[in-house]
Amino acid sequence: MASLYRGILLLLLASFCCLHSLSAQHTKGAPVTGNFNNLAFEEFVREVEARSGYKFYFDPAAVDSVRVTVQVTNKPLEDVLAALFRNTGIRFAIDAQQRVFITKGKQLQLALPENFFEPTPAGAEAMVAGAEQSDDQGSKRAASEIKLYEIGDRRNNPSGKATISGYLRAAGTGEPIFGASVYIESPLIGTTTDQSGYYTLSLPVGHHQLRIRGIGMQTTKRQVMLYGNGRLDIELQEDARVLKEVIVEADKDKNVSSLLMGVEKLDIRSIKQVPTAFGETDILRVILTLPGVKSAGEGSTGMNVRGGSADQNLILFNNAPIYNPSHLFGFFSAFNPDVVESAELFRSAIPAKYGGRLSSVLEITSREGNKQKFAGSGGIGLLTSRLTLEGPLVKDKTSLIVGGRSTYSDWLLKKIPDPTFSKSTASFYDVNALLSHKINDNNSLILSGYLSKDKFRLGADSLYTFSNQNASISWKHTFDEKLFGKFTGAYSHYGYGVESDKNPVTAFALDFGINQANFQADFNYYPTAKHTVNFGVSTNHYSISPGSFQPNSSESIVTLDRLQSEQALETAVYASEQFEITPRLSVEAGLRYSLFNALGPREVLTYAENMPRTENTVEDTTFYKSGSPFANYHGPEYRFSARYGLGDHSSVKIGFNRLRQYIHMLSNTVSMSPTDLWKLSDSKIRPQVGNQVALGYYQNFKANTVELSVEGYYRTMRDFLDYKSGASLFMNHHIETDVANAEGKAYGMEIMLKKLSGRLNGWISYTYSRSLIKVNNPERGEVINNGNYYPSNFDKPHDLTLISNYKFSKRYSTSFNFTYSTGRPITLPIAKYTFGDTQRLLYSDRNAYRVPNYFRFDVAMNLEGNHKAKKLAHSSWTLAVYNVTGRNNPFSVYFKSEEGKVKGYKLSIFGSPIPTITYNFRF
Amino acid sequence: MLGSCIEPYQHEVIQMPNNYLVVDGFINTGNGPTTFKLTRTQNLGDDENPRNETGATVTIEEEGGARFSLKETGAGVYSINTIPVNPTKRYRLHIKTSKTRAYISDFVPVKMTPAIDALTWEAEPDGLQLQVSTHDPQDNTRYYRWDFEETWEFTASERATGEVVGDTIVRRTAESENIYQCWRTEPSTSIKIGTSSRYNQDLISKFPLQKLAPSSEKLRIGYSILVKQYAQTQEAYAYWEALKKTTESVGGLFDPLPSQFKGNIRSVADSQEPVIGFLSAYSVEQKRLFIGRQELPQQWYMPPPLCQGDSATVSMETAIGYVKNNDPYWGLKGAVYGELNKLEGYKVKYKGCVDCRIYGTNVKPEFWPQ
Repeated sequence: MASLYRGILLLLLASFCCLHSLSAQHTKGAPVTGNFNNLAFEEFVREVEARSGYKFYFDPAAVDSVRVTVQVTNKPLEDVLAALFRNTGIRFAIDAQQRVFITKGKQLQLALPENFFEPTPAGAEAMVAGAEQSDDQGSKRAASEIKLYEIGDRRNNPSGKATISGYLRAAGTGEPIFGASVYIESPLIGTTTDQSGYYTLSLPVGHHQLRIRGIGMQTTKRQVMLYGNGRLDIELQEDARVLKEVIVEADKDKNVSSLLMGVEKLDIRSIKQVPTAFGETDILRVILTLPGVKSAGEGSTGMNVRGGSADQNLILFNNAPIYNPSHLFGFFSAFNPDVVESAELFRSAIPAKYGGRLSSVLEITSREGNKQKFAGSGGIGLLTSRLTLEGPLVKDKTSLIVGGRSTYSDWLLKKIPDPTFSKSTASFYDVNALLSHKINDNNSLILSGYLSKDKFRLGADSLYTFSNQNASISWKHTFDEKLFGKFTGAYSHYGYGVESDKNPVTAFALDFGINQANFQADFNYYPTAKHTVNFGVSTNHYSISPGSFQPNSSESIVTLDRLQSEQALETAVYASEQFEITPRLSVEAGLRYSLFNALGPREVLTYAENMPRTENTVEDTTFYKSGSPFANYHGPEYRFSARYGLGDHSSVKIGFNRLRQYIHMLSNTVSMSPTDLWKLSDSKIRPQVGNQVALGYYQNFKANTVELSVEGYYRTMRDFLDYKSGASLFMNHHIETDVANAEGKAYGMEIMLKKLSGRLNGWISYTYSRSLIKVNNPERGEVINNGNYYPSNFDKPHDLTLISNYKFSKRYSTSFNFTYSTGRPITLPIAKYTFGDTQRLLYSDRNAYRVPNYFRFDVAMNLEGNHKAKKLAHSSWTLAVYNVTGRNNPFSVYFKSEEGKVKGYKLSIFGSPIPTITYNFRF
Repeated sequence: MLGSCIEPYQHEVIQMPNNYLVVDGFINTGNGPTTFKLTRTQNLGDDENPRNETGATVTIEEEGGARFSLKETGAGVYSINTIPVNPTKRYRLHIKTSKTRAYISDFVPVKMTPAIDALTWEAEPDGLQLQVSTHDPQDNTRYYRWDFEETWEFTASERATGEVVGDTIVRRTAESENIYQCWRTEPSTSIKIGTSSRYNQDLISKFPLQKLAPSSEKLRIGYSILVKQYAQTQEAYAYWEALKKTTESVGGLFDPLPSQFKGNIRSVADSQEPVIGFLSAYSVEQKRLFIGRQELPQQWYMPPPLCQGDSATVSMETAIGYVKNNDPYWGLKGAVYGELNKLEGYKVKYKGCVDCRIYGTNVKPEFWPQ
């Protein structure tokens, strides 16, 4: 019997009322509370002894095969042990002095009632379900499908509804499974698991066949006899053909039932189905297919979310901000697909715990390493190769995952007919590592590190390098069943350099760097079932070296020029409460208050008031010493959302939020470029403030497998930066003279229909949106387009996207992508003139015209190897064709004076079908 | 493999009723004349030459001092001989068009341009790099702009053997007018600006001005470049930089966006009216460089141009007619003799093949070495 416990013993304990009623029959000792995850029995004993007055007596050899995984709150020890030792032949007895005697085979007889183990508590029956099933796939699992689980106390609550809840985990790895459907068919009632694999379902009492369907997992079912509220944790077998790339969507029922709006969670499985230009799974490129998310063009990973500029997105990778999320001119995203677990984009109702950016939060989370066994995965593509290794350091307790990626892309650049590219070289690599450690049931620790480096030489001249370095540590602590805390420390560095040594006399090296240190404490408090309170505090220290320009050879006459460094502290406190007023109506209100101090040392220029800021209007210079604040901003950020359920499968939601942003990106190029500057707010550059109201309608069909969402929004933004015409951002000691404060407004409507299970899955979305900018400060000489609103660079009103995947068989599937959007705005020449012997152009108002519309169609085929569960390595092939129709989608249209004549050109980045092949493996 | 491409783009002509004033010129603070050319902008599809702004009144005003009137010396060209410039004063430009619309510039300071130290060249694997070096010991200049004029010797692809003298065609002699060896002069078409603002000395070292491919026709026989250097204010430099950015390097992935930008000349009545041009006051320094074929790498040999065009054999009358009427296509090659030296007629060829004057002048420039 003990062999049953070789695997994980999953105990499914919760606040079963039946157990409470049972315990009332006995005089029991101090209750036990805690989260015990996969502990040896001796460790479990130590924990319990440390927390209570119990003292255990046992023979270690008798219990060496018992492992304990249980979450209990105020549970009598008797109940815990009864469940633990069920079917093991191990017996226990507790005396009045709180001494616990563990024996094998025969119970130590104390003065306890004879019927202590009878009748079998219903909850305990369920507890064993996991244990039985986790042991082996074969007959046991089948047995569990037909076995009847009794949930709740049969003597209690004989009619009405009861709630069943629990965790879904993958057998073997113990990873939580999110986005899986748990439902009964008649009547159709269902839900989906959340990020931690948790589900909760309210069902009529009685007999049900509970069906469980998760993408990448074998579909299964459980026979349940529901008497009352109870818990059922279920282990699922991985579907062998999925080869690790499991799981989709946490949104099923969430779409309708949660308070969240404008949230998309994509797991790596659905991301991997989308064909990309170079065959490599690209998280950001998939994010760009979501409604409301646009980019300036192909080869640019700068995201524009709901009409906001590219710097208004907070991209968090394991809690640490990433400043440049792309590699190789934006053709690759900075995230290794083998290491990523999921990407979650908040674009509408941004939770109060996030702040500091106006448009969106993109949270990218790494996978935890396999805690059971050593494993690896990788891929070989035309441009990049990657390898990821993972495994336990201490089995079931500590695991490590390390992934790396590198490129051999120089050959590709040689093929690009643009001489700027063909004379160029480019390479990149990135490395990820994540260590997760479970200290005990109440404490767990995650350490994450990320390093990326890019190097390229454009047109055989200057060498560009840029690098992201991130590290974070987060500690999750359970104070008690109602209060959870997460403490995070993170450090981010982004830097770039440009070096030129062609002419030794003018050889230079230019450097830029930004460092951000962050500490954050977040708490979740569940006072009652109807209230959820989140609160916390965060502080960020920024330090930017905006540029240093120095000689790069002994002969160089370049003088060392260093822009003043910038320091600032951004602190915020927040609290929000979610209140379920009725099952139909729930509201969430939150307030975040942020405080920004720009800190010395710094020389601050004062300009004449109401005059254009130029070097000639400087009136005074003040020096602030180190650490002294010279500009302070603070303000409230409101978050409000409400949901009203129209029925079981539809709801309306409304949201309002205000956000403040204290860091700005300065760029005067179309695409996000690695040499863009980041600038902190100071006495001249005010923080950006944005407001958004959103209204949405959500409906799910077919057991929550098809979901429809319709969202409209209206946003205003003020004090974001646009550049003055001909602005020079390079080594500018007084950048305030070259930028203009812009006001923006954006509005739109997003419709999305999503199906994430079944043979055919994917989504189709249509977005109508506008994004407009106004610059009108005549007294400062900042007027663009006569002070009227003009379309932003990424204003593309119509956008239609289809992402789909069809599985012909278990081994063969096909993906189709279709994208159509209005061409982006450009500034066109409206007249020509002759000046200095050359014909030149006079340009129109900014962004008065558009490039031709964008259309693209991609196809990919995925072929899996055979599905024997036990073989050395699983492999798969992906063949993809990007831009099947070969349409020359214009990236830009431009006009040039050549040989004294004006000529117009259209630049397409991918002007023909691009076939790729990728080999992926996993062991 | 990768389908990135740049294609010509024919967009529908944007017909806008635009007709803005273009002011091209500067106040010469050295010894030369000051000249402004006034023209109008045109629609992109307009094939005509730009319309000159004639009959305008153009004056230069010294701040708190004298006014100097410019005379129209050609259509839309307004000039004055040396203005007695006071280097401590500022100057501005007034323009009143024949339709009495008034334009005015900002006051601009006087800049004195330092001499060019050297014009140098280097034979690099991918061509000839021409460079300019200069410095200002006074440390007053910092911002520089250059124009240049290239002159090169070339030949027609074939020598004509006959010429028309009176009413007949005769064999060419040493005394005949040379139509085989010519010189062509072209101004620079791109904006060349440089700054020493980031250096600890006001020194420009080997600024790359022009690059010529090894196969360039300009290097076949002999090449000369005249570089003109202008000291700029920081504002003028910024204007030229913006003009360069928006009209010469736009559209690449990392290139700046084009946009409207303003000079320092504006309409008195309507400050929103676009006026093209930027008034500056500076002196001009110039230097010339000559490079002979023998100085260049041997392997850069460039064969004489091939004649690409039609040819025909015609009667003497027809041939003389072509020459006398200055036919736009046909030029005379010479007599054609068949068997036994029998005159068969006269060969005419595409003019560009036999007459170098189509592309340049047969007058050897004064500066050309003997």
